[in-house]
Amino acid sequence: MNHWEVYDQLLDQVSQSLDDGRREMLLRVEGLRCRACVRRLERALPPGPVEAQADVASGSCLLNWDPACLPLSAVLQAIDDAGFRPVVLADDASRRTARDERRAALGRIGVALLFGMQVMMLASGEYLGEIDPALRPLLRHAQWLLATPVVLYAGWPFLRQGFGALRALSPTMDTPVAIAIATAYLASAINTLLDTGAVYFDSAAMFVLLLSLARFVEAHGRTRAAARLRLLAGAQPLAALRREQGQLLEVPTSALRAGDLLVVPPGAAVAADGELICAAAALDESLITGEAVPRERRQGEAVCAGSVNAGPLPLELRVSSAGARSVLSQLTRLMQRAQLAKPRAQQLADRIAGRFVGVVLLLAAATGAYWIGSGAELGMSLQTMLAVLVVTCPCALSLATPMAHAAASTRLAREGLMLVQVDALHAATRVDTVCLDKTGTLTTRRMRLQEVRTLSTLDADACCAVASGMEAGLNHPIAQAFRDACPQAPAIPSRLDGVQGLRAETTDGVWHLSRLPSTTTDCAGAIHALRWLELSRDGRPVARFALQEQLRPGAGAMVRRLREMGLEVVLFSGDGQQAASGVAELAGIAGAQGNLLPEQKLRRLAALQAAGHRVLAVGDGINDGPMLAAADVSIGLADGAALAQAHGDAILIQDNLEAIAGLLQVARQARRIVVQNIGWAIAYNLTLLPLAMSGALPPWLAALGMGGSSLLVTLNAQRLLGAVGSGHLPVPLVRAAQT
Amino acid sequence: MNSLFLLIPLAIAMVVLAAGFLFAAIQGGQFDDLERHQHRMPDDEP
Repeated sequence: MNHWEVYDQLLDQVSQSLDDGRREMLLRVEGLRCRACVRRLERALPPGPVEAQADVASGSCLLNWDPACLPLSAVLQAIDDAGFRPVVLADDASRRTARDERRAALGRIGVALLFGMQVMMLASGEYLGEIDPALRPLLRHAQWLLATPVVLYAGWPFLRQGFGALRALSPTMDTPVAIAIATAYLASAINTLLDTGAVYFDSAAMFVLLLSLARFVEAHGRTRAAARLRLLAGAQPLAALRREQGQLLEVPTSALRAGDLLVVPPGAAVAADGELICAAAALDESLITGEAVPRERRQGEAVCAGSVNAGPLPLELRVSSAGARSVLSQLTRLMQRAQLAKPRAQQLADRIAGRFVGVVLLLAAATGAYWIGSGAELGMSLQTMLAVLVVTCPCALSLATPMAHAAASTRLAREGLMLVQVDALHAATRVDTVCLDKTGTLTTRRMRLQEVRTLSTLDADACCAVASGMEAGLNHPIAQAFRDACPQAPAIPSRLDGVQGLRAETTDGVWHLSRLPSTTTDCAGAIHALRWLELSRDGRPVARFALQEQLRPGAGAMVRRLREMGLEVVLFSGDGQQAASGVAELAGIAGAQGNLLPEQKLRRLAALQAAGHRVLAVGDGINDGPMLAAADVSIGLADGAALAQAHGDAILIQDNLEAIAGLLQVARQARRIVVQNIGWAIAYNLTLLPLAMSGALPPWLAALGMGGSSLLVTLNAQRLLGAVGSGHLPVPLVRAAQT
Repeated sequence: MNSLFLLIPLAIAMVVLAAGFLFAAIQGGQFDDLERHQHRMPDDEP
């Protein structure tokens, strides 16, 4: 019996069955650091029944195994035995959907490119000069044949969405696109059959190709960001250890009921809200409160689902509420509500497009009616009508924005920022206030031992060694800071001493390491000293330690650049006011507010928005989720809690905050380019429209102008990419070890 | 000029063949993950 067996019952929740009876699942694997680790992991699994693809970059492993041959628990145990810690994630069907969509999109682009090139080559003959009338039908039929897969297969999403929206009487930007593609294709087909006029298969093919490319680049950034998020989504454990008649049994979280007794091993997350039964425990509640330092809880106190046992011993609790009623789930719902209230910029664009297409169709119809009415022959009237449709084709207009957005996403990705919501680029141009979270956002989750003040004859190094030894078994930022400062200190067995700290008994006496109340004034000399600990022997103080939180790289540069752009920067923190002000001063931020609960952060932010400010929020913990969802634009951090990122408009994947200032700059640049592009497209359409209506512009010339116009808009957008090679390689954020 | 009657169908056939290869590559998963393989270089990270 191993404790992975619970996952055999949860097979449907954690994995997906494939056609051939095998199953597939994505695991997060901790301890996967290099190529050698990958080999070690892959060698630990029997190669036939299990196929594993481990990925160092994301710390994940894609498992494909045969459940008939080998139960999942055996696979997990094998990974565990090889020295890794597998973290089982809830299965997410969207991963496979995203993969299939990507394949389909690539196939469409490939078809548009391969067949489109042939069409354009064959079409070039007619542009270059007179074609032998005997050969013309051959060339045109060949173009028709080659253009058909481009229009009907590669262009199918545009046709379906465009005409679908038209049928629902709510035309979108796809509608004029669909009409233009269909018209060019059908008119060319008719002209081919009648062997008269001109054909525009090449225009249709190029248009489909350019549009598909722009949409693909746009969507690609989003799927990549989403894939990263899913890996980190291990916040709510899927299984818990339940005590039943003296026995420990691993059960699914969904089977937990109020009153169950749970045991949480060190380093594991609590699966349900409950009440502590053991004497004392240290809990890392950073997911809920954002507070980086673990809180000591005593018997009878409440414990939240999602908090992590940071102490050296297993803790025990009695479940008070599980599932949908837990604090974690409620925070998630709070976040969803705030998200629903967001305005949709897209609807406006679609409304404009709807009117535009209405006007275009009316104009084309009016032109045809006029020419027929004035006694011109039918062929001539049709040609003029088609010229009007082609010339008013919103190709450049519909490419103007997506091309610029695609270029902006690529540029931002190079700078270390993943754009999840493309709409955010537009909103970011109007941002005038930036709200930052402190712990885990402006600062790293690590602390540094800044200063040791001795209060007795014992020297600083000795005090440090004792404190470090006492913290040795623990896994939280303070213990980490001592380990960094004094790596060789021998471990001293210690235990939690109520709410105040640690206690250890050695031959030298009884040691206490305790947190000083934040109100202690005699220690508050230096602004960097944010947290103080006191070490005492037999009740007499021996030394005091000052621990400093470390700013994330680029924090100062980001604040400076934001200031230069005329933005206001404020800090909202769940930590004490003193700590918040200290960090703010370090980063050069003027306004810092501490002691804020998630609801209070949300209220402060709403007050800012009510005062007419547009707010960009940056945060990481779930406690920032509501704030991120309500802000005009939000940025989540990739090493933060999964939910906060899922709700960010953009995700910082590089350990450099300066990219946040980059987002605002690129957004402003993108806006300028979109305005230029739209201006050009409208000016072009308006200038040529009278010419086309008067019959002075043959359709093939209109098509040539349309192609040139699309190309110009595309090239203009490429300016957003900036100088190639100027961006340094993004350094991936090192995920804080799961405590 | 009669050669075009042979060459154009030939070109179309080759395009169809190329598209077939492309689809086989896409369905085989060759383009699923363009990020991962840069980390699979034989040298180990520190």
